[in-house]
Amino acid sequence: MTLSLNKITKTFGEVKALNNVSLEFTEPMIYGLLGRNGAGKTTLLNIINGRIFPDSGEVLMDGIPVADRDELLSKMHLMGEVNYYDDDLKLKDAIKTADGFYGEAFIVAEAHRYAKLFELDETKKIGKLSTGYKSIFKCCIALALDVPFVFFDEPVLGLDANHRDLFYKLLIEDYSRKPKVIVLSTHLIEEASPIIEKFVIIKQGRILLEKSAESLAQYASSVTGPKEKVEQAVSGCQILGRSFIGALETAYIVGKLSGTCDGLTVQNIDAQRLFIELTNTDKEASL
Amino acid sequence: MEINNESQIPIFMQVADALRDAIFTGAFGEDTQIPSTTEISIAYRINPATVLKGMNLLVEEQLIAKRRGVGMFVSIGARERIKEMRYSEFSKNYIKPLVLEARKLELTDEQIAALIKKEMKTDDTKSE
Amino acid sequence: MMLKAPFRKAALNNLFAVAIFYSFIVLFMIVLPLLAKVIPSWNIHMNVNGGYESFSMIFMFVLGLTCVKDNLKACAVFGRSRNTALITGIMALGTVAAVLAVLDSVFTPVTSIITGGFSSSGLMNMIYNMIPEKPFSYFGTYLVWRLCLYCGITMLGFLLSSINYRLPKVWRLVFWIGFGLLLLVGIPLSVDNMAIATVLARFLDFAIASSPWRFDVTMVVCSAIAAVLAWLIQRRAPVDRS
Repeated sequence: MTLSLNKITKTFGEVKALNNVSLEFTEPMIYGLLGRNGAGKTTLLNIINGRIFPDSGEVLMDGIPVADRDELLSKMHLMGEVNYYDDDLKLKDAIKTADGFYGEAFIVAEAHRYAKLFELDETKKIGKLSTGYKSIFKCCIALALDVPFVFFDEPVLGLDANHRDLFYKLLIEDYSRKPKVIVLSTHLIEEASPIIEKFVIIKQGRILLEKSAESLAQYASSVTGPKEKVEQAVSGCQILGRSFIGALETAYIVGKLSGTCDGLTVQNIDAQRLFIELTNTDKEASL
Repeated sequence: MEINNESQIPIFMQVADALRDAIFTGAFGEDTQIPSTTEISIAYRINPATVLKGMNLLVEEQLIAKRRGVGMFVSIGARERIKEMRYSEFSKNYIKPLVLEARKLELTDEQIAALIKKEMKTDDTKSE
Repeated sequence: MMLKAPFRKAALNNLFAVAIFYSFIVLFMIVLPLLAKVIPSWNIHMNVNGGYESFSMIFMFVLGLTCVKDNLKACAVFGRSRNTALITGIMALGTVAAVLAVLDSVFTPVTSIITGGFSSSGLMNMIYNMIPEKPFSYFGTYLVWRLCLYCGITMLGFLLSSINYRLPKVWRLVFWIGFGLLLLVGIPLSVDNMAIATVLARFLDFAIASSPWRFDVTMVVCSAIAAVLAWLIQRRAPVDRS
């Protein structure tokens, strides 16, 4: 199954939240949707799942528009930041409701198992949960679903290190058993990146980069050494950013250094560093 | 084994290294089954595709082999082969950097040899 | 369309509210008049005429107001479209209207028998001067009339709530104040104006007061218009963040 976004544009007042975005989710894979606050990640996920509607463009599943089609909408799930569950619903009743809506695609026993692993009290009402536990509960529902497309918007927000670790573990377990398209939108790039197979970086409402983890690792490198030497070596390269400690310079460049690198340290840069260099504003970069 | 996200070594290489190490130390004995891709990826919170890529390196090196419908098994003689591989890379991985650094420090050959001898002695006393 | 689950959820939610509401009403409508009879010193003259309908109307209006958001949210999180949310929401309201119409049609005569008041009395015989001979006469007519009345009222609430849902925060205030002014000032003023009052009176006479069946048709038409307007409003509405 293919889910494709076709030239999606969305404005909120004066702000262009998404600008002509086209994107495809095809093979079962864990995608990482990265972007800074306000880059348009949540807007994108909300549009895909029909919570809001684009000004122009459409979301297609195998070529058929998703909007207004229950049979397609129910093949997706978005674990979102905002709580859409009734606050006065008990957890166990919310699980029952999810079961009613998703039917066979929702594995009730799994939901209970996840809730137990996270030590959720199912007799509690959703409104009584802390922000972290609300996220956890929404994750439990999403993980128990066997639909072809599952989206997580900041799933680990407000979770402690142990719960985050457990979430990643369960996510991989779930994914290995039932391969599907999983889209993970997160700010915690470092801890999520080993899980991610394909990175989608979004900046100011546009797709900046779409690369497999492998090619992302090769995408850029850093060159460190005395300022003049570094500048000489990287001239002609596409430079993403520079940082200085006194006369010691680190330049982040696209690709590898082609010329000599005598006396210079050349290193690969990880996803997090690359993300920062790609999405820095000029002001931040000058600091 | 610990996977280091920030390491310069790609994660799939780290996985391969860890598997070789486990075979070499005997944790994964010859002719026994090694954990599945899923088990490994869950244990280290890394993508199954990455684990598979690491495993495939070992398959290419004929250290492990797939048995249809069962899983991956450590090949007979794998341990010996890893030893050979490590031996052949010993010079490149350990001696060459040592010599390079020693040259930068302008150490004489005698000094280097003495330092090695000394280190070996302390290591011997420790292990006793 | 996959209507079952959202309908079930919305209907169950509503019926739960009905159960609580109706237990109170029955208690109030039967126990109080009986007590008043037993304790004459209370000297309360209970008139239950039209009582059930008045309460049910208010209840249906409020239910129409409140059900929009819950249903939209549930459909948004569990993979259903706007159309489904709207249709199942209206279906669930219709179910409640039917349940209340039946309950009211049964309890009105029953109450009047128990409390020894008039035989079956309600809003309809006040408007149309239909004096029942037996407690359960006009049962069918009454049942349908009530159903249509409740549908009309609840759809008004549904429409208002849909408008409210779509409006930005500041405009909501303006909208509700405007709505209040229309009710409190606009209608009395227009009644004062002879020309408008005549037109209004003629319309009401024709559409509502002339016969119960014509009232039914008016209510169904109004409900349908409200439903279409609500659909236009909700079709592409973003799901509320709060």
